[in-house]
Amino acid sequence: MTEFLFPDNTVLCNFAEVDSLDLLTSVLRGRGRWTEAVAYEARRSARVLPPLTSLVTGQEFGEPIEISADADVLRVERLRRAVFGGAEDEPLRHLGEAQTCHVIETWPELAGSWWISDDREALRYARFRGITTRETIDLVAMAVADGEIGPKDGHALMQRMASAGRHLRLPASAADLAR
Amino acid sequence: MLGLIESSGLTRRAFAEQVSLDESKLSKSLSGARRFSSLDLARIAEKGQVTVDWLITGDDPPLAMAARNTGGHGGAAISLARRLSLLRADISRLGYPQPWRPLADAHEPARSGQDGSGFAGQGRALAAVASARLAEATRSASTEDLPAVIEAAFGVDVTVAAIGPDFDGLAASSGGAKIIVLATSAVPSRQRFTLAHELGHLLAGDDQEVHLDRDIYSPAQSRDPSEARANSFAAALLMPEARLRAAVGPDGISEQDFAALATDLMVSPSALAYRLREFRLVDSGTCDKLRKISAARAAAMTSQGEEFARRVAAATALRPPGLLLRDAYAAYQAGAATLRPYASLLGADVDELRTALESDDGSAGEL
Repeated sequence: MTEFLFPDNTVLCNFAEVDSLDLLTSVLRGRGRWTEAVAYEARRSARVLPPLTSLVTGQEFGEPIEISADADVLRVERLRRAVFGGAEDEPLRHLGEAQTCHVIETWPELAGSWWISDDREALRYARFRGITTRETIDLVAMAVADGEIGPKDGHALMQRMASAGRHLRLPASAADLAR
Repeated sequence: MLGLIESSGLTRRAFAEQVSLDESKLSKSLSGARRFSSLDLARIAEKGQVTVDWLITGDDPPLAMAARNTGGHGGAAISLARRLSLLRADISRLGYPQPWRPLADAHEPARSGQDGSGFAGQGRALAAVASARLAEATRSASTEDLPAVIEAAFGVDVTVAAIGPDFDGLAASSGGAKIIVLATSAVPSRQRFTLAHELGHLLAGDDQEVHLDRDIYSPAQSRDPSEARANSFAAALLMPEARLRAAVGPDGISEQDFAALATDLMVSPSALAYRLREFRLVDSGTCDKLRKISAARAAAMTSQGEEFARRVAAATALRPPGLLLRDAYAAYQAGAATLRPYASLLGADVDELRTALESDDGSAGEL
């Protein structure tokens, strides 16, 4: 079974912020996927982070996954509110998280997929639900393991993300990325 | 959906543009050739100021309708009740239902009026059963933290919010959720009476989903039978007849003892004076004299000014709904939800709250 990787929009923004989306796509190796709400969030983020435009208009993540069955839409809405804390009158808030969680959990063809996020709450919940999770730091470590980037450059890259105001877990040293 | 587009005053094309949806996709979805997606519906809901649930099911809960149709502070209070009721419905599905404990069916005649006692009698009968419920748990209504006692005994959520000043409280019964919303107040006795009054509505099973009480002491309101029953319930719960009879001797009650009784029961002197007159424990003249004593003076007369000041401060403080708070945290602990719903109930920033929760690890060191 193919394991797909579902980065959330904040992860996409981390790489876009340091103009390194090519590194992200090489690590994903064509296995990246996104739901329509995450694609929508990325499209909105592209207004302030232009490098995201190529991702939004390209096919790296395939067609955004649409959720259309009434039962699925209702479950997504309840997850969004009850689990992720979205308000009823802000229907787009936390929609990407709820959609991603829903499809990985309940769609057999996506079972075993990874959810990539730097949000502590989303990560904790996903782990409780048995969903495999990764963070930006893990993707950079994978890039180091693949020889796409050296540990020092990977470390510097992540420092630049943080300096730009991105919130993510950072390695203590370059050696931490060479695991 | 078509009605929503029409009421927006926009053409289909303009509406489609505003919700970032391709016009042909919108047309196909409206004709049934394509289903609206989760994202489509969220954007349409945001634009049309409706909910995703309504777009799919067409159900418009009475609380949601009431919130839209009520202006001012009342509308804000109903909106809050709606938000809390929805959270309860959502976390019920995660395994945390409202622990509502109505009074037993054996007392149904008292609620339905079949015993011929009238609405005030029904209120008294309900209060007797409710007091017995409190006594089972070695509690009584004359406790300072009445919201917590009522939550524990009846499984109803009680929240205090800044939704005054022209509004006392409301009781909401929506699906499985039971919520009492009280306005912050500098008059603790009024807030307590409102709480008991709203509990009366819920225990009586008053058949509207929401009872909004702008002024619980208003004579116009008390002419409504369900309001009269709730008032009678509140008076009997907070000022039990037996307690009053025990406090009044054969020669009546002195001002000093009256002040002590009002302060002990945490009720307004005027409400207590009328209640004593109702039982013919004082005459009308004495009632008129006693009811003019203010709560602050009653406390001062019994050297309880300090306690009174604390009660006033407590009544002006916000209070999140205790049972929802407990269950939202339990859901978080069990991994069934994130910390966000709990943080939202507290009005706290989730990251700051998580940091605080995780930092309490005994690192304060030796003092």
